[in-house]
Amino acid sequence: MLELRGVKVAYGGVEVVHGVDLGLAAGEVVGMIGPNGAGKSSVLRAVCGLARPSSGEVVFEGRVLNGMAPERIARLGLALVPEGRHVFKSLTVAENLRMGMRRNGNGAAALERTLERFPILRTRAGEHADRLSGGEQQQLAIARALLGQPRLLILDEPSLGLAPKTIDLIYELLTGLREEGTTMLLVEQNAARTIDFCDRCLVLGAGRVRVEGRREELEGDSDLLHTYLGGQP
Amino acid sequence: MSSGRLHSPALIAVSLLVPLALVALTMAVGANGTPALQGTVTTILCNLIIVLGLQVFIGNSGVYSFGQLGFASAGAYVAALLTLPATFAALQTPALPHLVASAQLGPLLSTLIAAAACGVLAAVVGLPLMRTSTLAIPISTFAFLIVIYNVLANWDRISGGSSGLVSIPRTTGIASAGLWAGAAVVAALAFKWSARGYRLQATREDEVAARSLGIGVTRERLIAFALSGVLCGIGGALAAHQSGVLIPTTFYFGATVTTVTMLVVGGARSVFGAVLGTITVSTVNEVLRNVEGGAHLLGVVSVGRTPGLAAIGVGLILLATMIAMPDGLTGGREAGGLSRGPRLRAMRPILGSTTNGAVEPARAEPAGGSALCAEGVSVAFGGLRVLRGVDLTLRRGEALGLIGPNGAGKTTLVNVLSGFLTPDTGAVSLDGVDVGGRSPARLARAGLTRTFQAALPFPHLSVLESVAVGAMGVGVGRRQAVAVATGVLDRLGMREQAASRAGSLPPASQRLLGVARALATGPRYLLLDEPAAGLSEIEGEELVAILRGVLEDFGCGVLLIEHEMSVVMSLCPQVQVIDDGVTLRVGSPAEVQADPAVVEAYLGSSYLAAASA
Repeated sequence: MLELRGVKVAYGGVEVVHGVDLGLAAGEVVGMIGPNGAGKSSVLRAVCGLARPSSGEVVFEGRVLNGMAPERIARLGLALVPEGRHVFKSLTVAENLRMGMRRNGNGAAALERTLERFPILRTRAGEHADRLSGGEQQQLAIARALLGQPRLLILDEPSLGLAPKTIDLIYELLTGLREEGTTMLLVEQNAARTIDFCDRCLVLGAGRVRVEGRREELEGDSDLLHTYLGGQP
Repeated sequence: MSSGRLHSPALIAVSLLVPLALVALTMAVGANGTPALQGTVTTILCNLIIVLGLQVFIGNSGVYSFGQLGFASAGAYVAALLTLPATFAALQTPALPHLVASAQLGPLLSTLIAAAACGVLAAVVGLPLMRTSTLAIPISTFAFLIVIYNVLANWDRISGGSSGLVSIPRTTGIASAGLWAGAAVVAALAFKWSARGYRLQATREDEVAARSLGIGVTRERLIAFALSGVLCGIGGALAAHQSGVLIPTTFYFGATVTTVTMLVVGGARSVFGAVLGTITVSTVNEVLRNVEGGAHLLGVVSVGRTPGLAAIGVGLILLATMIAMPDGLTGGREAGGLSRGPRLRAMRPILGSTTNGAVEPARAEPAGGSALCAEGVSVAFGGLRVLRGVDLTLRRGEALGLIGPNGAGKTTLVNVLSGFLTPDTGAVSLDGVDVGGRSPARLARAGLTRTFQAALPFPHLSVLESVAVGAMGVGVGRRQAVAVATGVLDRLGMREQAASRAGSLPPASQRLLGVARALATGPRYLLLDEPAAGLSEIEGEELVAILRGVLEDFGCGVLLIEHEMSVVMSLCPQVQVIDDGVTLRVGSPAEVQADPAVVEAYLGSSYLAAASA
């Protein structure tokens, strides 16, 4: 479904991603982990059109995304839940959700399904989004992305800044989505949780893929992970 | 980068010499040209002084002012009236006080008086205007421009009214304009690189973060506004003595658009940009103006009369720059900094590099009490009660963890403690002194500094500059601020990144930079809002080691909001749990983790399972 071939990303002439390959099949859940500055978010930015790859190709369902505007990529069915959530703070919860709905989609039914999945959003529908707690905002951000009926859901650090109990709740919701067959690309800091949640993980370090493996291959290999997640390439 | 300096001597030299060389080159071109060209070049040099005046305020504050040409106008009239020959003065400005009318000063003295008058005028005008918001300043300064114009156009018996003044002594030549322009370049760079200039740039980069470091936004803007008024006044005075005639529209809408365009095309953040922009736009303008009257290009193509061509050309340059190079031709960098920045490195492991050098705190320890206390703090937003009578005590040299569910009121409490929010009821005291209602900047100067959940970096400043600004914010001089910053960066293992632009760091490093910036203020109390967010487990351990060192070296009290329990539990001997606006529990990590109410409200059962596994 999504394929990255030798993707490099540079900012102002400084290359931060040095050729990343990644394949993602429909229904698969893939995670990217690695130390701060490894290039995880830059890879996501390249996929979503927020950064143009300096070389290599991003292909989504046979279409090359390089150089395409982010909004066009979103319309193709890639939805990003950004780091820090980025809900529309001065709009109500209901208005935020309306922003996520596709013009031609079956809006009412999709909205109903989403509110069933995130009951807290129904309770707080009339409140301004900046009144929500961090965990509720994260749910709103995910719900807003889902209303676009994406084919691929991309999550950038969904647990960032959340209380332990709230992280459990978010992952329960994500597990529900995974079981329904939602294709997901996930970036996280918490390595153990990510490996446990995803079918397959890439460990990035200094702009390169250091290790790639399925859950059962990575789980329990604490030496390997310590080597690559310790911050020093 | 050598320690103890924000810029290498080579960078300073190049940044100073390149714009000065451009000024000299412009002078040389004019001096060898026809009288018409000489006049044009002199005008360009006068404009350059005005554009440098704009740069001092707009470039460093990041706030657009459309009123600075009002000061050029004022300077021009003051200088003209002080130098008019008595016979012409009696004809044109009959109501002018005798003292002024008969002054007939020389060019230097009249220019200096014009500069001083404009500085005072800008300070007085700025006093109310700089209190308005970042978005209101462009509009309120524009209103000032209109007021000045109307005063000059209607005060006939003093200003000569809308027909203006003629027979002003034409004393400005290429040499004098060039010398003043050179001095203006030096002044603008000296201001930009002074502690004062850095404090103002910090407000441009992030107003909230700047205030948290003790920087008074209004005050810093006002000082730059006055200095900008001085430079604009000089430019106006010289221009009046160049053309010999002056009308109220000489420095009005048209000149405002032209000079702001010059600044934006060159790159507002840099002095080099002001120089390059002025010369580029002026050159294009002059060439097209010659074509306007009809011309033969390369002796082949014949162009008929095309009035308006120059204005269209300048407009197109502005558009093209905004689209292709939004930071201007120079990218907002000085001439010495045009080469690419050093390569960005991944964050180094921090443990290994924290052994060298004790850090010198920015401020000596005051006598007196030693705790930050909140008592009965309550805050409501609309009908929503976010905090309901919370007490908190943070002692010096101790770390206190503050945990609780999202939305419990932790950040609101930090906002109250740091002066960003006034509580509805309750009191906050710092070392026994009631500090309720004090601004964040004043609290920072009193030794209480905070960081933010969002990193709020100063994106266009280097890492070293960002941290040095922290010390400058509390009044430390430039040189010592750099020494403090270097020490803090060493302590945090960020020395290799000192020359990188803050905006180029990955988010988690930016958060660590926020900690460094706060430490440079020499805080006695440090409030950290989720510093470990976005760090991997191992990086979190490294952060704990750093913070432990901070507690030992700086002896400050650290309040730590953090969801990463391993960080909180290993650093803080005391943890306070708040939930739904009230304190749920205060105790040791073990006590807190064993409390069923805390597990229920915050930790969740999976945490318990993992902890016991």
